[in-house]
Amino acid sequence: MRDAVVVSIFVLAYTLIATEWVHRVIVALAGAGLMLLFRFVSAQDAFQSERFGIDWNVIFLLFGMMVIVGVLRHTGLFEYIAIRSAKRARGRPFRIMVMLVLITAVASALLDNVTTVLLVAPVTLLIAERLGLSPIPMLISEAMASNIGGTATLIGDPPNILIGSQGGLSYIDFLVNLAPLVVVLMVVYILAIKLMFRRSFVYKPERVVELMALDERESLRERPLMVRALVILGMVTAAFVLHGVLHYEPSVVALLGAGVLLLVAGREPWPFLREVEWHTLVFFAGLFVMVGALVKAGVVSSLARAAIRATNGDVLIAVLLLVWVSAILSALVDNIPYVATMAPLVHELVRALPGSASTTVLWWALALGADLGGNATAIGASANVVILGIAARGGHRIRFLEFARYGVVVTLLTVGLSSIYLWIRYFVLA
Amino acid sequence: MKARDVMISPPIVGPDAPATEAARLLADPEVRGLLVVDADERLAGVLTDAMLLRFLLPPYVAEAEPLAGVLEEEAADALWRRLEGKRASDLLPEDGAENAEVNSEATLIEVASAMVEADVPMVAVREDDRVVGAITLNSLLKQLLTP
Repeated sequence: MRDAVVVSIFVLAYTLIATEWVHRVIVALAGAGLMLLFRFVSAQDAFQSERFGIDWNVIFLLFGMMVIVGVLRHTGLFEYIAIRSAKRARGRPFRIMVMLVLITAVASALLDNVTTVLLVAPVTLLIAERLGLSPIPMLISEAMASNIGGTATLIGDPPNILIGSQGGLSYIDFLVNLAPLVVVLMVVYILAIKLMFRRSFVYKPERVVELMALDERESLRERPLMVRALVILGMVTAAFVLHGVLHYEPSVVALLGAGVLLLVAGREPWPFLREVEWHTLVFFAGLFVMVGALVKAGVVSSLARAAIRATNGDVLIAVLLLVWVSAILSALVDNIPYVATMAPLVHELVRALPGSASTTVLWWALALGADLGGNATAIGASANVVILGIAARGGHRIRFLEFARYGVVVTLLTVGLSSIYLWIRYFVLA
Repeated sequence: MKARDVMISPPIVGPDAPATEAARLLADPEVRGLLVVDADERLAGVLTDAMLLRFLLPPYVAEAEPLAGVLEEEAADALWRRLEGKRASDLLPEDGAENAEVNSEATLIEVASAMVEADVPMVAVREDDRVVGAITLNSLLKQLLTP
């Protein structure tokens, strides 16, 4: 009976989140509230237990990075880099697109995806306007590049932050296991957009003078602040990488970085704190409590046992299944709630399946499926939703099917390559 | 004193009026806002000078403020083009009509509060479902500061 109610609340909440009938923050809060009301989890579980409650490492890592990025956003650095690259490319559309895609991918690996597209999309609108081109191919390419680039690191994509914390994986683990693949994926991806958008690359020499008229140096109005923010970001990234030596959790590093940056910024913190997406943090907290109830009721363990029976304990089958199921589901629902639910399940699988050393590959399967699957549709990843919003406010509506036409191709390509990579690296060569 | 006692008759445009006409009216230094009113005398929104300015600004500058500096001096000359083919109602923010009106029976404190809350220099005055006038920041201040 108890299990049935827990599962019902969970399924109902998930349906409401996926269909967007009710705002996802309300659903997460109400769902978490119901789990507490019926005592499926105690307040102790919800607020103090790592297994059954809120993973504060995730919340504070997100929070810290949001603050750092909030400062960086005020400095105009991204606008500067983007315009400078476009001018270097002399207004050639494909070259500009490659530049913007690479900037987006690298920035998404170091920062959060959503932030990256918030930084790069407006300047893209400006560049496209100057060149007399539709910004839509560039914006779609950037959204997908942010999801691919973000796959490379622990902080690159919110699902990775979750996976890192719940799977006990470090920044280096992500770099060693996922970054090499992401480099290959980016090369293939750039070839793919060259083919897919070949008709949009109309070079208009007479418009180039308008692009060259932009003065990118004028965007850097806060150089001292920019230098401080970049130094702190560099130190934070170094501390992530040196986790094996320093032994500070990523959340602690991000929080420290945010605190020090606000301190050395030398002004009131309000404009920077406004950049913190409180609703995302609350959504995460609510989700954790709901998933915690599911774990506590033993539902996740039963699912894990069923998954092991279904795969006959074969890790390769489990990995391939996990990659593709994750990709499909992440295309249809936001990948954050999906990974929040799957993380405890994968945790059980990693413990239960034979050869526990090699079963970490299950975490990579989950990360790849969820991150890359988000590319398939306009609602698959938060970065896509943000891009669509900026495009619409700029007067360019991107339709669901238009995005999916390109998104599905890229997803099939990248997830297919990822499957081959996982198979060769962790099974053939292992 | 009630809202009806201090209200004035500001310029009125229909929702389908050309945006350029609304802009021309707002360019008058005496005019802080227009009422956008449909054929049934229902309020579509209060259009203020600040809203017009926000509309003229390219959307990417509104999203990323550092881009304002990047544009060359002459870019300002082309801003008016953003009004081409637009209607007065296109200039209104999406949630425009929500707070920018008061009942004709409202006290001046209520008027002041509505103005501060909606952050606009003009509110419409409504009687039943019809718009009967408006109160500008100036007319309200003049009244409030008279001993």
